[in-house]
Amino acid sequence: MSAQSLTNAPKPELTADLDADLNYDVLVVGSGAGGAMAAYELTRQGQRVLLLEAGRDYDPKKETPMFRRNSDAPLMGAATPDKDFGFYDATVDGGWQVPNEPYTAAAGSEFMWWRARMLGGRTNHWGRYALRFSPHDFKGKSRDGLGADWPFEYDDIAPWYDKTELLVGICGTNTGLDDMPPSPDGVLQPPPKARIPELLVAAAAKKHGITAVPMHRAVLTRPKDQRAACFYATSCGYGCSIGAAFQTTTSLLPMALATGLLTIKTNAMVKSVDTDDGGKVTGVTFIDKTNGLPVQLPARVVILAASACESARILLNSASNKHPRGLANSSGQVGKNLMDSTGANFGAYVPALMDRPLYNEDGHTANHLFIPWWGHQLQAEKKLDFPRGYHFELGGRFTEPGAYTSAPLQGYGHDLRRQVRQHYGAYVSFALRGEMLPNEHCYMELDPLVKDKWGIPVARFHWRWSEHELKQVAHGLATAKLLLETMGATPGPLPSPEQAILKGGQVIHEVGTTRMGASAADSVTNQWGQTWDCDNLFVMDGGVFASNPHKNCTLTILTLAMRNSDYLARQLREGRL
Amino acid sequence: MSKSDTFYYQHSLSRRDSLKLFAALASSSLLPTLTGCEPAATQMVAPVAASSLVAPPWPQLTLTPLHSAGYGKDPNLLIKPAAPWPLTLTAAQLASLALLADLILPRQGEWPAASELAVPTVLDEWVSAPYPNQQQDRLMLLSLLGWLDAAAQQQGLRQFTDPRQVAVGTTSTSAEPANKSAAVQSTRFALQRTVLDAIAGPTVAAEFRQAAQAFDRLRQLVVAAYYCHETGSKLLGYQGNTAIAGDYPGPTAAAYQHLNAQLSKLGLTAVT
Repeated sequence: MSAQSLTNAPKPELTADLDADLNYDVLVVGSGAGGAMAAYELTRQGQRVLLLEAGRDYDPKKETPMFRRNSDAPLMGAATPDKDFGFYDATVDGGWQVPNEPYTAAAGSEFMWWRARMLGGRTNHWGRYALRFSPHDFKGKSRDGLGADWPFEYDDIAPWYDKTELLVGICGTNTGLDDMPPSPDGVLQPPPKARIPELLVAAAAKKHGITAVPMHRAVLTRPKDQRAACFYATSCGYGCSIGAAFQTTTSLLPMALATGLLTIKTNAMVKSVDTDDGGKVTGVTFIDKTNGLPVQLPARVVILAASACESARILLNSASNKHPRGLANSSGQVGKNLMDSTGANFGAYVPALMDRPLYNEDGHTANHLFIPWWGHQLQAEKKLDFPRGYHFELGGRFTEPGAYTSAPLQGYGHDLRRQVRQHYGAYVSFALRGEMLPNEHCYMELDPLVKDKWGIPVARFHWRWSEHELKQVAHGLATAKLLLETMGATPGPLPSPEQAILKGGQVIHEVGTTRMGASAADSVTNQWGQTWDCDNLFVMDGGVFASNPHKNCTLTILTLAMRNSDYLARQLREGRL
Repeated sequence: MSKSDTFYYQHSLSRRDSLKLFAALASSSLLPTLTGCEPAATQMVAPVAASSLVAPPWPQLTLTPLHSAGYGKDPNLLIKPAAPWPLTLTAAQLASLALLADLILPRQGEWPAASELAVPTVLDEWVSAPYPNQQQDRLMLLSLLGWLDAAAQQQGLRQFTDPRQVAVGTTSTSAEPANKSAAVQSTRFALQRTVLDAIAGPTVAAEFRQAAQAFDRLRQLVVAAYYCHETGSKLLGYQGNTAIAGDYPGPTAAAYQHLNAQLSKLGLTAVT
């Protein structure tokens, strides 16, 4: 369908770089995990796609600071309010704050919202941890009565995990553990060998019946398509010019562009989804950031994949007579059920690792081993006082020296060098990442007063951890302490869970604000990410999550976007939309 | 004494340059005349034990906040900006920090002194940055310099570090100053150590705690800047940031051996 063939749609004011004769079947908002996968799958199936991205164009091949040393960066690469994760972090025009695009928190609430304004979105810097959710993850409510079930079974999504893992490229192994469903033979690539501190943690954990296993990461250890295998240097958070660490800008987007069916428009900040008098979606209005002017574009189908909270914000900003509470919000659930992962860190220097033999421990620059959740059985037997699981990510290796030293240094003079060497690579930390349950105190809405630079009302967050999360964190801290002691360390006193738990949003796994479900009464979309209220409007980011299992959200965002774009392509072929 | 008479740390100073500079100073008529400004070693009070040092009050500095722009949210990550923001340390402050840095990490064997690895340059960039953490460090470090001077005055020194003292790393060279001057310096080092010993160790008297905290911060920054430098990082033994063809090789035989010995001491079983 061409833009002009929509006779009833308002005539678009196309910017100079958008061809007035542009043809597209589907308009996608956002170029991160969900949007890029939608563009990939739809174009693969012959659909024409226009993708709008709020940030600037970005090419990791030209911009990634490969091999750059901390000493080559201002402030030794330290984190600053301009670059919250350090100078070299790939995030462009974003972080905890985006210039001129504020967000607010209600009194008594604190929430941190990480955004990126760049092609590829947050896939350019994510941790690349890519663990499948397991059968019980999709049916938590059936098991313990809390939160919400997903509207499908694990078996429905398993083949899509297989396809996604193959396309993305995941290294790891099938562990046989109940928290890690297996991938078919030939899907996973071999993981890198474990490092010494990880092996020490594994041995300590084993003593307590806890298992450390290879992490699953979206990092190639074998070449794939146009992407090279990892060469085990340069932090993945910098981006990856050789495409080994998955980001949509070196994989899905170039692949979709190669079909000739994808057009990308950057600096296009979507303000609202437009509807006709019947309430059906007719297109979107975006702000062209290069000139600040609003542009209307017609569309037969719109997919929102702007990130959970940005997509919910767009829906809430798209109210009309037919959709007075915001678009697709007849259930009142848009913005509700906001969940992050729980996070807490605990670590100590381990004497057994002091002055150990040196070797290159960069590896793929993140966890080679981690500790998956081991407590399903304990929870089934009601032996734990919290309902949902967590995993531990393990820190500790010979890293490139940077702006911070945590070693407890004493004195001055040449002896300091001995102390530095002794402590180098001897600190082990446990980063807990756990499942949070949705609660009525955690949600987002529109701020009634504050608008961004473009005149768009901003998100306002409400947040409160519940006792479920605090008890889980207390268990995790005690376990980390036990493992450190088993390793011969003398960790300091444990903080309280209230002190230790990270802030809402800080783990950057925010999901749930447009959740999917089995009924239009209590969810925003059906199992295909299709909104109950408008059949030509889909959501394909983390907003659709019905729960937030502890395993990091991106792989499942990618998988759902592939599955649901396949569904959408079928609907289009069959003339249902 | 005029500014031109004194040694100042220069940002682009390579070790070679610093030696040349020192040689130039030594061969000029400057050094002998400079010693005239210095009380003779014998006139300095004998170094007092740390326990008898009276802690000066912590300086209450009022610094003008820095309002320069940061590097922004979309800096070029490939080319380091020559100067991301204006540097703010005076030549005297920079010289003091250079000398302190060299007391913290002096030249020893194959290890260069801190000033030879551009540590003072990094410190200047750090305290001049317009970000909140760095501005906090700026207040802390400049206060420390003032406090050290006050403490040094108790020892009969005019100030803690004398700009003419030259970085520690450059003293043991063929450009060695005259014996008399060396003796002055040696006494000065002893006096400086008396002050540092009161704030640098694991146990610190209550009245020295604020200075000790600030010194610890300086020590952290000096250590960070030193090991961040390519040379420092190599000497420490960081072996990464190099492309590997094929699979990641993992630990060496020696590394496994060490681990296994530790596991057996801890009564743990290796996981394969």
